[in-house]
Amino acid sequence: MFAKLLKHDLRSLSRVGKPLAIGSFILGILGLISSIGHSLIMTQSYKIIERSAEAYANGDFELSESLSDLYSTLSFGGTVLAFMMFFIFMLLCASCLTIMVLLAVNFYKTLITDEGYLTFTLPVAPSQILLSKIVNAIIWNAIIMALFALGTAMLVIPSVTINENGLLAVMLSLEGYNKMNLVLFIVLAIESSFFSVIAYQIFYFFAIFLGGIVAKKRKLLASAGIIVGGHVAYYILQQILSFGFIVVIYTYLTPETTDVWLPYNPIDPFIITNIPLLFSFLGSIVISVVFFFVTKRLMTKNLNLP
Amino acid sequence: MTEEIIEPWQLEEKEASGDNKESQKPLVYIENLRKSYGLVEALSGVSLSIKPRKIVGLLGPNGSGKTTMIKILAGLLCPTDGCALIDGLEIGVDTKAIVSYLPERPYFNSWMKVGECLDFFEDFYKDFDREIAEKMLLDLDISTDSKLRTLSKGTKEKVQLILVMSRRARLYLLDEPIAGVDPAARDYILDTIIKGRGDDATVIISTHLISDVENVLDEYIFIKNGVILEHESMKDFRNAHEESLDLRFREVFKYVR
Repeated sequence: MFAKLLKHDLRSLSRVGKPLAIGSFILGILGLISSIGHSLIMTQSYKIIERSAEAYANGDFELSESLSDLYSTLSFGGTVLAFMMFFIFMLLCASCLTIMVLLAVNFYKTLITDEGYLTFTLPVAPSQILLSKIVNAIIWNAIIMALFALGTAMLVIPSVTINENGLLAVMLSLEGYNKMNLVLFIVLAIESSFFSVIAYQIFYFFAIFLGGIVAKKRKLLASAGIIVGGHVAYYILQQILSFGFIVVIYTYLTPETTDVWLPYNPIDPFIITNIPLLFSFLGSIVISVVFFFVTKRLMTKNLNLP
Repeated sequence: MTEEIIEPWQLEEKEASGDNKESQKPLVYIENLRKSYGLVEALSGVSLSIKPRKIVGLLGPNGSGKTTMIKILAGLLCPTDGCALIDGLEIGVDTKAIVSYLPERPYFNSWMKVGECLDFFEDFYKDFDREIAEKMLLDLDISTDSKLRTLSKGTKEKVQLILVMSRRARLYLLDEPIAGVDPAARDYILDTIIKGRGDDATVIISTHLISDVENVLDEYIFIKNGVILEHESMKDFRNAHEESLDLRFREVFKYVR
């Protein structure tokens, strides 16, 4: 029964999910083209301005002026492509947000509106209904986030491989910047982001269901209120935990520090970046489990479809 | 005189045919059922039992508690107090497998085609008979390729009714099955309800169109303000009253200025 539920959930979202995924892929391709173009233009621009300066130093002012004009034209083209790359990145970010919103809307429609009459009269346990929605969310979020990561990589990679003066290339050449830590950071960041997204999605499901059964009218407003309240509470908790973390690392992990606010020894970047990501990952798991069981209980004991 | 030998299957059939009616356990058993929405009490300690193979009319004015009772039996509402059992089971996954529920509103996604709705029911309900459903759709001239959003309100209701009645359920809960349907189709639908249900099935119909359904009912229940006023068999009603059930309803529920 669970497999059938999941099949129907995947199918119901694929009407909008597929075009979104295809759109994200096309954006990635456009991003790659823009990035390659931008990197080539910037590489040639540096060479042209160098030659222009050389020509000026040699007294060939006509050549220097011509090369300067060419540089201006290329710079303008590079700027346009840079804006395009930024715009494509924003659209890729928007696609990640869009799939979360679509999943929340789908959850609301199939459980709280008239379609809930069909869903809750099926011979399946409420926990299976909820689990199907969550697995559906995991699959669609994974697809869109993978396309986001691919699109972002297509924007960034030409900048590193073609443009030796690009930001990322400069970062990697900095002394003390451990490439292995960078790779680990990227892996943890992706993993932590993905599980955070899933945790948020389950929390949104809880908020939508609670708003739907508690409020007689304006159910979406009630759900939105719960979501905002939850985000505020989570932000406050994050700030408290972050402050505590900073106090701990500066007090206990730098033994030669005499003043807690002024560390004299540099902290390993691994600890600064990767430990919080690990905590974020664990926090996401806890949030997901807690809200799953709370929502399941609401569905079993407090179902009141209007 | 030769002695009649009764085989075991004949004894079962004799019992099932009604000779031992009183010994049959009720299919629906409700005891002291309450449902409150804040300060409003939709059901106030309702108790009743319904035996198998009955067509029961659940009749009452708007806001009397008919839909609330049906939704509790369908598993869409949790009661505030009391208990409701279907075939001796508490409302849950097992009862949903034997209960076929028709709400008073469309509940399929409008982008779905009629054929996809059939696929959906076939996937989840083992007792769904696709052949019967397709035959009824053909009789009512409804194409399986039609998208629900292109159908009229009445046609959508017919599609839902066909899906519900194509199941071999033990209990059919029909909330206003003929309200939005044209008079010509009402007879077909009522005929479908009587003939479409299984031999052992019970049907509970909630409706305002009493004159259309009273000839098919075995029992009726009058409910008002969450309280059952009357629950009788149609046989006893006709023996006791000369008037029709429709007139009786108007008498019991008449509005006083």
